[in-house]
Amino acid sequence: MRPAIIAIGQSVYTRHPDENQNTRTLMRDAIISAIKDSGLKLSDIDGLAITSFSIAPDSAIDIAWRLGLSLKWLLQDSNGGSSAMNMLGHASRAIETNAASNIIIVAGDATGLSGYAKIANSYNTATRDHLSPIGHGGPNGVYALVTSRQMKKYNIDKIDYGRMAVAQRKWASLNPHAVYKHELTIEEYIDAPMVADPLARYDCVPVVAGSYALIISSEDNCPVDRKPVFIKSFMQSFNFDNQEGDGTNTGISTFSDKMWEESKISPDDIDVLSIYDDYPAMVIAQLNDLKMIPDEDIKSFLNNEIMLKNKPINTWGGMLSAGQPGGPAGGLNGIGEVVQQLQGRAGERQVRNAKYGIVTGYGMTLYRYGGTAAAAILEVE
Amino acid sequence: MDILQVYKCAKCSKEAFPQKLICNHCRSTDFIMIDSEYAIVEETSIIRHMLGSKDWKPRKIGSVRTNKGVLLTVGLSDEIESGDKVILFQQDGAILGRKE
Ligand SMILES: [Zn+2]
Repeated sequence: MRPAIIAIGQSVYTRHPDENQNTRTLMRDAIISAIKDSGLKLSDIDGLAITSFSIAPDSAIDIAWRLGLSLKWLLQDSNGGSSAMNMLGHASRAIETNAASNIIIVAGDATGLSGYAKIANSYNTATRDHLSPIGHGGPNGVYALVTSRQMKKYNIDKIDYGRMAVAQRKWASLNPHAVYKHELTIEEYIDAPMVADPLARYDCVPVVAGSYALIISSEDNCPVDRKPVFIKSFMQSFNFDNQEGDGTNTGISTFSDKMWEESKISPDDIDVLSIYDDYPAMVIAQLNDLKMIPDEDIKSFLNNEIMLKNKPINTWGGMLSAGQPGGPAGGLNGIGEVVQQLQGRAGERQVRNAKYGIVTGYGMTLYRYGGTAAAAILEVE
Repeated sequence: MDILQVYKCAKCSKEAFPQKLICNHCRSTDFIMIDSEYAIVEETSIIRHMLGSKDWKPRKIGSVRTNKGVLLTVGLSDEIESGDKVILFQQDGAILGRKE
């Protein structure tokens, strides 16, 4: 079977979940919303992929049980910001080999701020043993240092990153699910309180409770009101440099040339992008690795392409404005946004005649920066 | 206060931190612990807020490179800046840098 993404679903995204909202109920809501969007029945689902920082001690099978899903394919992923992409890859291969017919991919979290802090401080043994004791402030401290290196290397000023935050907020104003929709001015960005120099408030993602889901199936199961979305190219990288680089490149740099060569299209052909945006510096790093920034002229790219919406990036507002549930769900939301754009279902955010989109994942901060990265080119025919 | 110890490959002498299971240079599995000598501070940041913490006091951290090329993230006292030479030591489980 030729795998295709056919439907998406989403729960509410909220900064302050009420007593009836937790990771499991939000996942349920996203799944029901995706099922409704697909026209399938719950009983048609025979595969489930899950990622979350907050279902322990439960596992994917517990969620399947509570949802009443009897399955022949099950996956639980633990690759942080790359989980959504990793699940997409495994699920598409499962459809291709007939291991399953209709797979739901779901990501969700409702950790709360203190829960998130606890996760951030014990993210892995290197963080627990060597970073938390110095008070590194979770990922903010790690990416503050990466951002400083990027600023030096490419002669970027703080205001340049602000262009991205402002542009993404404009997109978020058109996303009914985004937690921050009001306009963000460049002055507000510059005047915002420092969190971990040079990172200030609007460089850091708001932690939310929420869940997102996709359905991947065969193209025959795609509802007639939309086109099936195909994966033209899919590549990943794990621990590409043993943490011995400066963090301004990601694992995407190991495969991007091959990706363009194999897909027979060029960066100019891409109509819409979802770049995993845990920090503005990492969006730049991934775009640069993808060869999306001509001559590595990051300043011009931010001031012209992003500000003027010539390159529609993170059209759902990204995690920076729409919110980051835990980490993994942000990646899935980015994929779902490109799916909607390619299917012509993005409402007020719709990019005209979108045919090719890029989605990425980046995450699992090992010690100095992330160790996982993935990218895919999605297309409609 | 103890001088920070790093892991030196017994075969090729490449130094690493934290400890690895296999040397990524020569693939040896034998390491010896040795005292680090000195490091140069490359970037610094001040952590002004800690998620979930109300009475947080700002602290300085930095990325440093030892004279043997090991990259570490350490705590620093306020007066230390990028370019400074520091000695690395451990105190209450935290790796800290101080001027010689
Ligand atoms: Zn060795």
